[in-house]
Amino acid sequence: MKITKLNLNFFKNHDALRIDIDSDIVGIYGLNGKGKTNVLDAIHFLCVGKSYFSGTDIQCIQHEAEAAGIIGIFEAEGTWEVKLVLQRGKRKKIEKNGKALPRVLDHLGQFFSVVIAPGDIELIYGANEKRRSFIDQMLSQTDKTYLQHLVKYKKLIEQRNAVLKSDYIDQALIQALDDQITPAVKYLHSKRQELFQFLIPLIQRFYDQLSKGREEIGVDYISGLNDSSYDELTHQNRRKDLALQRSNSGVHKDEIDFVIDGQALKKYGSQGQIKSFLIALKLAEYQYYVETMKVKPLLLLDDIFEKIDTERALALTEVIKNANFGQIFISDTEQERIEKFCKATEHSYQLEAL
Amino acid sequence: MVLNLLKRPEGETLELARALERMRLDIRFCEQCFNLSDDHLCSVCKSPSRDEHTICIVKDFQDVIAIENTAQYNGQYHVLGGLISPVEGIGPQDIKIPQLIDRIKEKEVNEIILALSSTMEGDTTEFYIARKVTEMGVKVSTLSKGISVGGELEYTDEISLARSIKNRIEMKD
Repeated sequence: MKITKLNLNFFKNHDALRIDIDSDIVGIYGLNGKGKTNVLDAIHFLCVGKSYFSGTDIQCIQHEAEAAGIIGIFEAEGTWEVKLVLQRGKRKKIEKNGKALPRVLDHLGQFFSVVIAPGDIELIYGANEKRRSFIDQMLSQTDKTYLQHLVKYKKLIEQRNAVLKSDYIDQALIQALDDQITPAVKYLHSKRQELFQFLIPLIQRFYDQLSKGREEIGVDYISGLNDSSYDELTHQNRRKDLALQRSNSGVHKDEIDFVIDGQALKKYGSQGQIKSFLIALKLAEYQYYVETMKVKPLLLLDDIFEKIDTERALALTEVIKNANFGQIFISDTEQERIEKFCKATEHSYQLEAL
Repeated sequence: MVLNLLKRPEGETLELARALERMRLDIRFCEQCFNLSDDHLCSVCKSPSRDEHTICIVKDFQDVIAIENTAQYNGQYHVLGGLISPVEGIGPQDIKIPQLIDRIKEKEVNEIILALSSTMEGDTTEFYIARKVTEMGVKVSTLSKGISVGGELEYTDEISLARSIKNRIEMKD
């Protein structure tokens, strides 16, 4: 999968940016504040229909502009022009080869990108919700049934919470909602379990390549559904649900903990170990798309030399050189350093100054 | 519209005004099924040829018209007037579910057919009614869902297609 053209209009700090691409590796360099990360974000936006770095779409529209647009030409089993328009006060629009998609969700599952960025540290230190949404994002792109169940599940839990907050709690209504939650939650849980089984050896493999250490990597997937059915869980949590007026059973309560040598990474991991783990996790994500969808996603490396540290960036260069990656976009402040990286990967490259 | 009415013969306009007045004053809801009616019972509930032991549950009176147009159904109806949506503050008591339960208790109902939309609110309402009514020993069925007649397979959404495959039927002579 490759991008051959990229146009940004009023997207974040870019009034009108056009990049023509004919290389495997694109190095984007410029001073801080020039909008290097925004270019990577635009590519991610085109792939999955939302920003990697900004919480809302509105934040991606330039100040005083009414709308922002991104156009990309993809080569992925054919040529695809993907156009994304963000307008204030309106729903975002995605067009594929001139045809508007009815929903943004319909866009998922064709174009893939994996971002490695300094903010990924949140995956370690942030709340469980961050890790859940990371794996949901992966599974939603590769499995439409997962996405459908997830959307439905979230709405059903919202409805269930509304019943628990009402003055009169109708148990038959709770049951009617649980009847629908049961198949969804079973599917979501089993797919999350399968994903971790798939990911753990891959994370370990990449971690070993990136780090000189011999630590054993693990992921603890703690879910009530590991040992009990949804029915059993709701029965156990019935009083708690009534007292707290919200649903305490289901995959929205799943906990995901990253582990190193049997201990919590966020508590006991060194800064170096955490950085290596994060890159390994993202490369495992990359490999997951390769194996499940038979595509080579776009790899977007944001500021890895500055924030992630040179030693690990060089180790990553080795991984990239030896493994068979698709197109890579990398941002950095220094032209010399980025050029050295591009050369070291032994792939065709181009440099873009911002 | 006003200019058009003024151009027409006076008698015609006055007749329309009287018809509108009658519609506003006479049309009400059927006391049994909550369909539109010009009497305390609607024409379906009053008809001796309709099967009163089978009730089709719908959301609106428009759904009654749609099903009547098929000329394939000979039972009675029950119009809920909405669907359960706790997030919007609509519970079972806010639509005509208690009246449905009373109706089943009072009349000899053998089967109810759930004909609600295939949305989450529609499904929740169906599951709720099914639970309540099954406890009362009444058979519950729901409309079959899947590919529409004349629909192209490649344009059918995945959920409908999956349901059609799951609920496939044997071809017989």
